Amino acid sequence: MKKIFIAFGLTGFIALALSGCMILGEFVHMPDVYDVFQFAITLNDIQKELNDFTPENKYYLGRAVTATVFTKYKPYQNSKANKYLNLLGTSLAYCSNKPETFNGYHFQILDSMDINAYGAPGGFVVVTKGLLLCARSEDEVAAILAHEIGHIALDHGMQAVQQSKQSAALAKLGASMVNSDIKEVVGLFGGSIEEMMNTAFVAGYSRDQEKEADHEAVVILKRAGYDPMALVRVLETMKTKLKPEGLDFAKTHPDPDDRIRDVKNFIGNYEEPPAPPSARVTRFRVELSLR
Amino acid sequence: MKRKWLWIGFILLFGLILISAGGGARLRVMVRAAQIRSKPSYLGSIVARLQYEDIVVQASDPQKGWIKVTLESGKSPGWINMSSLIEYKEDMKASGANVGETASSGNIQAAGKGFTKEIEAEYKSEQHLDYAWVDRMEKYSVTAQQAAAFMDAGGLIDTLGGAE
Repeated sequence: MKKIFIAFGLTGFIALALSGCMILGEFVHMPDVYDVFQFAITLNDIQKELNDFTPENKYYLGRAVTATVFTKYKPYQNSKANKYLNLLGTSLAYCSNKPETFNGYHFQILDSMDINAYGAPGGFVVVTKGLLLCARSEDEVAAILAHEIGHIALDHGMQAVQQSKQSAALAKLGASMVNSDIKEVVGLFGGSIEEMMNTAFVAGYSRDQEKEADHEAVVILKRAGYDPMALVRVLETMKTKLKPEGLDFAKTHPDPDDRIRDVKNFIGNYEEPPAPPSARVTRFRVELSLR
Repeated sequence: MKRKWLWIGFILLFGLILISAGGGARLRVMVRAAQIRSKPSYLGSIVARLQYEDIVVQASDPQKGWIKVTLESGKSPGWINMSSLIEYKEDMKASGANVGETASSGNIQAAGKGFTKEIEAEYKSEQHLDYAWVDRMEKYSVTAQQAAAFMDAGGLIDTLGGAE
């Protein structure tokens, strides 16, 4: 009997050692410490999402928020321009830290001269004609979209909900939904939509969240090969067009001057890129003719 | 003699279980459609197509936002972007009914999932909210190849890799 215990013990030890080698093996061949660090970060990120809303939950919230936006703003019905925006936006999303949402990214122009945009959870991005007219190149349109993708990638819409008054009630969602009354959950759903609409059109994101989205935009622009300084240029144009009493960006976003300063700092050493190829210049003019 | 071989068999089985327990993490697909690709890029050829809630097994360390996985059977090794996955836990309640099916009663049968298609249907009718334009918006669909061609034509970087 004793022999059998020893045999089991030895086998267990060898098995654990072998599996340990497998795990270690994953790290041994890694090129540098950075990858090991990234491994920890990314798995941690995955686990965080588990305790949070699932991508599916965010998708349905995003759909409802976007449907509510369409009660305020009419969609701009120009399929050529919207198609171009979707090509550009999706290409940028592929370069973000969240290239995949539950059902992909989708972009729509709003028929308004307000200067406004909103990136809803799940990957729904709406942007007004007024804001797009502030952009004088594809790089500048990319900067606007990359900022909204940044809010989505960083889950700012969901943070607004979780920091709200109903966060305690929402905490129930993750754990004990069995036999919950559907009306109760619909109530929480509606409360979350209201909270997000308030953030988008009344209170705005926090200064820090706007800064983070600007930084994320710079990262996306650089990865894609666009000029990161395009964000500064479009902010400069917006500054001249914003009305202080306006209900759009002027109300919900920090002073463009502060953002310009911060973005320049974040970009750091800057070398002006070569002029964009004519194909990029032409498609911006032809595909996105909004006037 | 017979007993001896029986014990050896048990011991080997025990060892195998322990080895498999030390393998990669099980990860669950949390997007409607995902692909395992031949390289860590959206331009890699598709090795396997996955659906919402499919399980894959981690096969190596992540690399720039991508992770090498296999199917649970050990087949179709390749790369998947990590933004489409969450770590799988046995106690996570299955909720396949939430995608493509509607609620049949006043209770949420598919537990632990929060805001789903059923909740949307209820909210939509309560608020008389029109989703037509959201549905139209979702019809704009850009494939990785189209995005790569767009970036290529614009003199941009078409690596389509995600995180660095």
